[in-house]
Amino acid sequence: MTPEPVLCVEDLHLRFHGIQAIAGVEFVLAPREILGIIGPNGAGKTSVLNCINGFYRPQRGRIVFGGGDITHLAPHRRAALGIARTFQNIALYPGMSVLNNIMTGRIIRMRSGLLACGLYAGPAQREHVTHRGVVEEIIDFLEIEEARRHLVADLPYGIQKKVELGRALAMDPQVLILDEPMAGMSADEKSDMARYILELKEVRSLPMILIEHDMGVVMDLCDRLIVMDYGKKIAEGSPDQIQRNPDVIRAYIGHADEGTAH
Amino acid sequence: MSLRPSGDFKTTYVQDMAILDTRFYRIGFGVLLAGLVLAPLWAGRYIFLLNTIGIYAVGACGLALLTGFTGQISLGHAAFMAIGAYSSAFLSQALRLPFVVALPVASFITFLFGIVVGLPSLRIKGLYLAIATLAFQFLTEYALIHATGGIGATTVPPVSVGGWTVRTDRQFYYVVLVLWVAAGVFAANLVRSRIGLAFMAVRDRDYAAQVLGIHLLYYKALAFGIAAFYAGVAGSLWAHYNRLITTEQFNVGASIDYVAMIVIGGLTSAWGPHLGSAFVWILSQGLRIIAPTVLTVFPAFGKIATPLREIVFGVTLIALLIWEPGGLAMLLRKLKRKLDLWPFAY
Repeated sequence: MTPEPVLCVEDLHLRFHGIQAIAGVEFVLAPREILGIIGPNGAGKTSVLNCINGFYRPQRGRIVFGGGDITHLAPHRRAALGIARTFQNIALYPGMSVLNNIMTGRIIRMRSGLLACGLYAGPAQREHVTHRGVVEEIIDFLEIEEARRHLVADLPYGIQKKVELGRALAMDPQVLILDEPMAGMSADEKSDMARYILELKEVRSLPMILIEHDMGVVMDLCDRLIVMDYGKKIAEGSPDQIQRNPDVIRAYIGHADEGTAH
Repeated sequence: MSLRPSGDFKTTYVQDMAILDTRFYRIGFGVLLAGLVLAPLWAGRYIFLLNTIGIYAVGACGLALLTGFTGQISLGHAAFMAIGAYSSAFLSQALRLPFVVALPVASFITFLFGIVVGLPSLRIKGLYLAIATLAFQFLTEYALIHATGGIGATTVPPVSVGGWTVRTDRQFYYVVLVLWVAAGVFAANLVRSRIGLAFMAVRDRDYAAQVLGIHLLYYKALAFGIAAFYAGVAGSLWAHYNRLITTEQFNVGASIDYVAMIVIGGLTSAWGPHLGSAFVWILSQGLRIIAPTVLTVFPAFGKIATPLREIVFGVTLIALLIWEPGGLAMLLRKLKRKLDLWPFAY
């Protein structure tokens, strides 16, 4: 018997006026699994993610997370339930330090009220110190100690990507959604990021949904893949099966070409 | 003079997160506080200026939290101050409540107004929010004029704390100072706490804040509420200080003065609103003193003598926006860095 899935997406339909962005996509995410979503540009991959974390409201379909239907919850409620994500084009807070950026991930875990925050000494300070410890562990894990006090806007792209991963991890998520975590990175940075993702899977048993265009990375990291084209799921299976699937090859380039399609 | 000597190693997070994190700063802050406590000794007849600076600094602290830290523009801050002032006047005049009750109750009433005004900020952003708050400014003035029977003015009884009645500027100064320091410390603590982080997240990228579990409407409304509360405290103090309030004291010009204060002082600094308030009021007072002298020397300036304050403010604002958008607080930080490194360039 298969284990209870962490996340179920059922019969998802999303339409923007004349454009059918998602047409009947469904999949499940198993515990400890890295699920890759691939497909050509405009296939609706990011739209699926936006439905999962609540930016878009699908016209039809259901999203079940942690045993409950979350299809109509507001984005911040879903975050509180444990859905964390990163963005394709980095969405950090440029005016804040790396430390504070990652600390914002802890806000949902902090409880101090307005008065305690204003007085600071006492409960709010103790709470802040505890959570600072968690943030420092993440900074260690991502090897960005020297960037700790820098403003995010001053940092190179690769480090910003790491900080964004760190901010999502600070939420102690139940599921992590990564939208192109390696886009625009150098080979070294990609292998670092791949290492973090594998470690999160092995050590934290964190299930992940990953959108990525680097096929080498996708095939190596993912346990299972979904291929999307024109808002539809055209294939699903292990990386090996997907690589041999003629529909997938046709969707990507129209002719059989191995390896990195993008 | 080295402000952060080598060997200043922090061994706990508490030390690392302290606002005054070196001995130099702690001593400096102590000296500043002592200077303020002893101000009646050195300020002479200019104690009224310190009272004004203090009251407006409290209000500016609120606006800095709202605009500087949460990114919500408000051109109606003086209207909140007016609500605080008139509520306080009503509570202490008509209901005979003592100052120590009237001030918090009036500020809480202003807080509620702030929440209500803040609600549309979920949909209205940027310039549109500025216009919406401007509308609130005019509505408030209009409503207050009608509420006072078309006069717009009302008198306020003097402050009386536990049988001791405050009569002079010097005595009132201590009332102001206590609330000024409390308001400043509260704001500085708030911005490093979880609520301050949430405010900055909303300011820097609201959709990413949602993904982190931050309820946008809650935090935007809260920021408006807190800003209004600060304005309410300032308004209540102002009412009891001046003893006669008119709507003209809280017109759109005062709202713009508030914006000028936080921009000049530095939008995202705990010191910004205090520096800004001091700068604006000292400059106003200075111009009032030197304007007649300038006129006798250069009679040709006669035409611009009246709007001189506005002209100087405008030029200062533009100059700061061009050369130092971080405001006076950033200038101080740069000066400090120069001193740290002197005599080396970097």
